[in-house]
Amino acid sequence: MEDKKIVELFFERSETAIAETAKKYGKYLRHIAFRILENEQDSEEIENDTYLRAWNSIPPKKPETLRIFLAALCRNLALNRYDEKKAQKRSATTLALEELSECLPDGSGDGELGESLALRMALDSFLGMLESRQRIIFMQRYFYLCRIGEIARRHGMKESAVTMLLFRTRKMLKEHLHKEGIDL
Amino acid sequence: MKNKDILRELGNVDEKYIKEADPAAPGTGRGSHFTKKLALIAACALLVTTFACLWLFLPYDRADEDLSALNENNLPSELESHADSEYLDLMLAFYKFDKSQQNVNRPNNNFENYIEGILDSFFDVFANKGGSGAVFDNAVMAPGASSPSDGDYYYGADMEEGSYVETTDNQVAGVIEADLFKRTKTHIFYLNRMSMNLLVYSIEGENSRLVSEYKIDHGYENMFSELYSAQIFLSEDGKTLTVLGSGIGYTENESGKAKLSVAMLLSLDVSDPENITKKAHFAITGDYLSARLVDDKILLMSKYYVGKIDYDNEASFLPQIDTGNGFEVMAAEDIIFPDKLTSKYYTVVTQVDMETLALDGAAGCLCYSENVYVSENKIFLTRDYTDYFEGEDDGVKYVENKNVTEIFALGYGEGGFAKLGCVTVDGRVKDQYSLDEYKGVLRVVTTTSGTKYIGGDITVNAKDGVIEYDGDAIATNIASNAALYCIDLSTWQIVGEVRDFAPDGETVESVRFDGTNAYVCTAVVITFTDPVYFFDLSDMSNITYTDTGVIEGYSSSLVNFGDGFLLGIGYGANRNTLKIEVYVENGDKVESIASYEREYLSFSEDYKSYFIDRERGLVGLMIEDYSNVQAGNRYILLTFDGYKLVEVLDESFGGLYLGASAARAALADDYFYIMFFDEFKAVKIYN
Repeated sequence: MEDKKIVELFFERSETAIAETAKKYGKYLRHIAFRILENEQDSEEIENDTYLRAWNSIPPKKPETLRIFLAALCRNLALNRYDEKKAQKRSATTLALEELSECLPDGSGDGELGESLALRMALDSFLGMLESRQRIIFMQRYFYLCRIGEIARRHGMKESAVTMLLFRTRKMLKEHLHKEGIDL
Repeated sequence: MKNKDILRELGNVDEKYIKEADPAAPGTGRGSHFTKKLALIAACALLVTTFACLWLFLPYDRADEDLSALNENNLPSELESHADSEYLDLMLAFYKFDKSQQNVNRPNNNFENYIEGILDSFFDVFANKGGSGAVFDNAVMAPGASSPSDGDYYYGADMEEGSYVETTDNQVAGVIEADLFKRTKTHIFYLNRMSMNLLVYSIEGENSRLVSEYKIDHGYENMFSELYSAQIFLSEDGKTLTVLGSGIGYTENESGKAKLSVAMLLSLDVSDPENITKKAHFAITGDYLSARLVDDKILLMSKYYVGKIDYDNEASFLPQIDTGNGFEVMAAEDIIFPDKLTSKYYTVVTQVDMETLALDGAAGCLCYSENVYVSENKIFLTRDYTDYFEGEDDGVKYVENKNVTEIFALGYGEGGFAKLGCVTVDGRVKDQYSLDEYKGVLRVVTTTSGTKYIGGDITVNAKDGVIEYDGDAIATNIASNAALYCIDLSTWQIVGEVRDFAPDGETVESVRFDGTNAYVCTAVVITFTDPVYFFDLSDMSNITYTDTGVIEGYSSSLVNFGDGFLLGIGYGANRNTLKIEVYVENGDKVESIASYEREYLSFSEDYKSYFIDRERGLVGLMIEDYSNVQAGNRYILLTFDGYKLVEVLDESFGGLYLGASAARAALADDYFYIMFFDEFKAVKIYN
């Protein structure tokens, strides 16, 4: 079923909206959750939580790309669960967090809402500056939490090349955040 | 600010960046990179394949040179430097012919040009190169007789001691044909083509002997090396003998000596048979076809093929004649050719004095074949080709591609040759005996055939006559049949004809004309059956005919046997059975009244090798007998007593199987003389 029709079901408050969403994106959402949590049971719970969050969001929200809307919801829920569990294994999320810590002088302190908005805007402008492949690899690593090896295979690159690219990109992000005055 | 804030806020960035990086979507990574690579390879492969197909199958530009627009005022570049040449018209005709052949035979695209050639070589398929090459030995030794000619013909009134006695059953009285064997009242002259020796025997019954053996040699290397082409003439007074045949000659040019094939004449003084000497020689480039002797003038027919032409070298497209001072090209006014050439073969006719071999006229007839018929004052040459005819059957268009023959006549006599006229008839003639001139009318018998295309979309390329048709058109063979035409030689118009008189699928095998009568044997050679037709040509506007019906075997030679009898020599039930039959016209049919058959043998279809004596009702020929291990060559002689054919002689010539066509025989007084290579026998057959 097309995304447009599924969204219409949400607007009609039809319960088949969830069924159709699960049928089309269930596997995809479980995959996103599993990348962060690395636990099937937790991933299934996050999947179900994503459907609930979508039911509560649509309407009023009317996402143009349902897939991305759901991915973002699922990702955030998974990250929240991750925080709750405070997993100590070197999961993809842990690794990603460690890498991103380079972009900041220190990792301490809680962010305020204003800082969140500023960070979001800074990230948007930063991503807009990047060359396409560089941006895609950056987002696959830090949004989709793909492993280095997986990214390397997807792009026909060596892992070392992907690592180097991500290193340079983080360095650029650090400089950009500094210019934007983000918590330096 | 914690690093996890960056991680979380990445989830809130512009959706387009998230969508762009989605690993599951195409074009975002492995799927993307690999797909791009694959797409690039596929694109390259498609491009290469496309270019390869275009190069292989794109048709060549067939916007051919407009040959019809070429003339003396609009010459192709190759001929511009020859604008003042007396041979310009001929050169232009050759140029157009060569170009049209290139267009017909060339491939339509690179696939046909390169790949098919490789495949053809691999599968050992040989394309037909066309051309009707001269098989002059068979053309010379043509069977059948077309008009009465006595076995003993004296073309001189004085029968002096040693004077000529005719031995050849000539097609036309007074037009002597060359042969292996000639004689006088006292001597036999026989040419052994195997050893190229002229053998002279005395005619003295049981005391006959070899008088002399003269090696034919003119000083040219390997002269008369062709085994079956040499023949002889003997003058009326029996003193001059002319040898004719094919050999190798030499010509001098700036590049030095060049070897070439020639038709040669060698004149010998045989007034003293024991001391034969050379008198003169004559040569023309090409191959010997045949010759006639008329009133001490020799008409020599030779064949000359033009290969690759160099327009700067006239010898590359013109026959050359050597009268003793080296080879010279023929003059332009002596070359005869049609508006549109159909081949690059010349039939060259030259007239020379028998005594001196001095040239007295020449005509190079381009595109004409080796079937030459010579009447009392005309030479008839034939040119066969295919032509197309368009029509409609009940509104449905058809095109017929048929074999046709153009018959062209030259007058001969004092002062050389003169063009007389031409006519085109359907079908192809078998040999010289298919034509006959009688009281100003030319009679011709042909085998007709062709292909018919009907329906669909049929177009004919006017430039080269190639017929193109689509899948809806039906192409069928027009079954072979026979036709007889009568042409008024004063107007060159057909004044009488009979078409399709034979069963479909039959071909003309032998013809004989006898005054107002014509005898035609048609046959389906594969099944060895034939009818013999008798035509009454006395009223050409109402030609009638009868036939024998289908009978076993077929006659390769038909002979007027005198007293209203027709003799057929040919095959019985198969190719190893000799069948000699006597026919007579009986009311509304032709019937066989006597027959002789003999099996397990082979014999020659060379009519000149048969002995025919109408006065005594004798017929003889050499056979190769396979009936038992001790058999070999044998000469059989039959007599027809009015009721049946009876064997009177069955003479062995040893255990070797040699070509039966070389045998010749003569009857003098009570003795029958047989010559076969270097063997000679005199057998008394009358007491």
